[in-house]
Amino acid sequence: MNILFSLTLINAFLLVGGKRIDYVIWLVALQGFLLALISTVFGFQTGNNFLYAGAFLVLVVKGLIVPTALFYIVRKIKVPKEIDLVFRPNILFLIAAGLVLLSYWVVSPEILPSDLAAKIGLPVALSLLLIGLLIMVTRKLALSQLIGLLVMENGLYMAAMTATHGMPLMIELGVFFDLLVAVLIMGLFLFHIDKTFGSINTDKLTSLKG
Amino acid sequence: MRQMVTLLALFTPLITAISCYLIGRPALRNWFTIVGVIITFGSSLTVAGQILTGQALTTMGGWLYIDALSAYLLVIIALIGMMAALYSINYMQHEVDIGIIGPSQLASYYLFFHLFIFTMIMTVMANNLGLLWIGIEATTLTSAMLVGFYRQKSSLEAAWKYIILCTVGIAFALLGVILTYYAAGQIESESARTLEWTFLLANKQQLDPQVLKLAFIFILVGFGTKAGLAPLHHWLPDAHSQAPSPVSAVLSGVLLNCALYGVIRYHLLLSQAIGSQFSGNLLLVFGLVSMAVAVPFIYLQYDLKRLLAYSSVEHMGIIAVGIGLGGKLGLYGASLHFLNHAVAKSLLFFTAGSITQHYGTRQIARIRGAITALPISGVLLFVGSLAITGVPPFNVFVSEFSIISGGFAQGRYVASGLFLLFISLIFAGFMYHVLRMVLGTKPKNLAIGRENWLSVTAMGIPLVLILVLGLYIPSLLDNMLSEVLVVLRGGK
Repeated sequence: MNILFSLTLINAFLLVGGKRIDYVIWLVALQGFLLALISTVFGFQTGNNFLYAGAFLVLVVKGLIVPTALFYIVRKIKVPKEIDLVFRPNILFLIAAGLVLLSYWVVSPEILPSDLAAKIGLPVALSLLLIGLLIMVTRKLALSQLIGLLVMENGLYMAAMTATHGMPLMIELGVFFDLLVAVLIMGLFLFHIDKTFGSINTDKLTSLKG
Repeated sequence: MRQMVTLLALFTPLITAISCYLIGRPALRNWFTIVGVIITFGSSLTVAGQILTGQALTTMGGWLYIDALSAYLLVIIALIGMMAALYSINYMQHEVDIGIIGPSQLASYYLFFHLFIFTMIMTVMANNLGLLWIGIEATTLTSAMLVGFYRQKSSLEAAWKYIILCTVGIAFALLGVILTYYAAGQIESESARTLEWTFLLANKQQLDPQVLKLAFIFILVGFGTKAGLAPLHHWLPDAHSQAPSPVSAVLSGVLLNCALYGVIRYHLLLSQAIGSQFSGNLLLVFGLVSMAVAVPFIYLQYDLKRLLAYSSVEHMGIIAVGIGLGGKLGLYGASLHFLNHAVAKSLLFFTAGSITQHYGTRQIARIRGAITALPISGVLLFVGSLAITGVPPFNVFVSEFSIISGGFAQGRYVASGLFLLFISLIFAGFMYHVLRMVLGTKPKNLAIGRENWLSVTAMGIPLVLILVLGLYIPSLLDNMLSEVLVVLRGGK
């Protein structure tokens, strides 16, 4: 279990500094797989069958469908191979490490559920949430904002899983449906942005002010 | 019977959406739209009437719950939806005529328009906190398609910012939902039932106060982003100004209400579990900050629709202040303000829509002499602006006055004084722009336009309402509001 959580964090760090877009998407897919694995192990430990269903959903949606859609977008709109990061990767790693420390500090032991998985899992979940936000603000491609959003969603899923043994299945289904539609709509907008602006660089999306 | 009407109110927009998309002939599609919104409005009124005389309704296996507060918002959504749909028909046809959009795009406009209404109705009917979250995220997705509808540079930028900012915001709200689920899970083994309002309210004493407070902060940030509370309002002026005008009216008039509804429900839970101090004060501060932020942007505004958008930031702030102050007067004013703002703001967006279409620009500096160029819209823009800035004898004055008196009655002089200061400043700024647009001499080469009867009808309904509600509150509405107040004060 501990190993899986650590792998997830390492994966998130690589995402923060990742330069090539296809490499970043592979990492997102990998994160989906890790999340599904954690969900399965967790379901095995707690005997909660809903977590298996959750794991399956994560695997299909976050591990397969969403990355495939992202690759499709990248190929269709010919995203430049190198992502222009706002800072150098070293600085980003440093910020990400700060965020992880912050998460461990914020999730104070008093309000934590007593079981062990939550103690380890919740800070990791919060780290993912913040790292997702970091990815969104330190990259120039609009596509990377979508990727940051996915990392945030993964953090939320992990929070739900570790703190409460997973949200009710109906709610989980609804959230996954919303996520799928969101990716679909954002992808659609990316196409239109690329067509109208000639690129998906967010530097160009700054005309509306005041 | 009651369930049937409720389901009718919920699913009519969905059915209308699908049929509008499938129907190829524009005239038939327009009739479907009109019939659909009228059925939705009629059944919403019926639902509200039944809630007034009877108990709150729980249906669909506990997933839907309608008390006076949800019924009241349901009626507002259906009302504004109906007016906006009527206004859309002529407005969107005009966009086709001047070649901004192709005729085939109209089908997808009506599809997303009715879907948008459907998701909002689902939001206010949701009993389950998770379903509420799903509903609000769904409103973002459907309305983003409408914000980016024109596929121009500016509208794509607005839509992208809107969907990204609101989805990030709402991700935090989901964390709040998860925390609540955790808190409720300590009482009873976890199942979907523990996220229901009815369950949470029934077991309010056993919820962990610390976790609840933390959850409220996340909910406030998440849904507050969607409600346009400053400093999380940055998507709002872009989205409101870039969307087609009928959609702006719905965004401003009811979408913001729906998001605020999520915050208020949570505030109610907290008030009953640990007292209203914590969440009430947070709402009060966020409300006042929103009002303050609107002031400079209204003074320096260059775009008519952005002017109206910043006014929405202000009015969401006003409602938050009213709820935050609490007490009978504050809550009464805030509930009444939901309706008053929705009605006055949609009137303004309709007139702004006609004027910007006629002048071919949204620039305030280039709109002059609207009263001669477009007599009906010009006059109504002026009347609507008087109403929205809280001038008596119009409706907004009544609710704002109620909130201020509530504040003074509680001895919260600083908050009430600031409130008074901000609305006076905004009145002056707003009037400065509007008077120049309405009066003045119209550009020479601009023809005198005439509004279509459907658009005039759509503007006539809110006009009657702002006049009538300014003078007296009809007994039906008064009964409704007193029931809403019972809910807001923790009864039933």
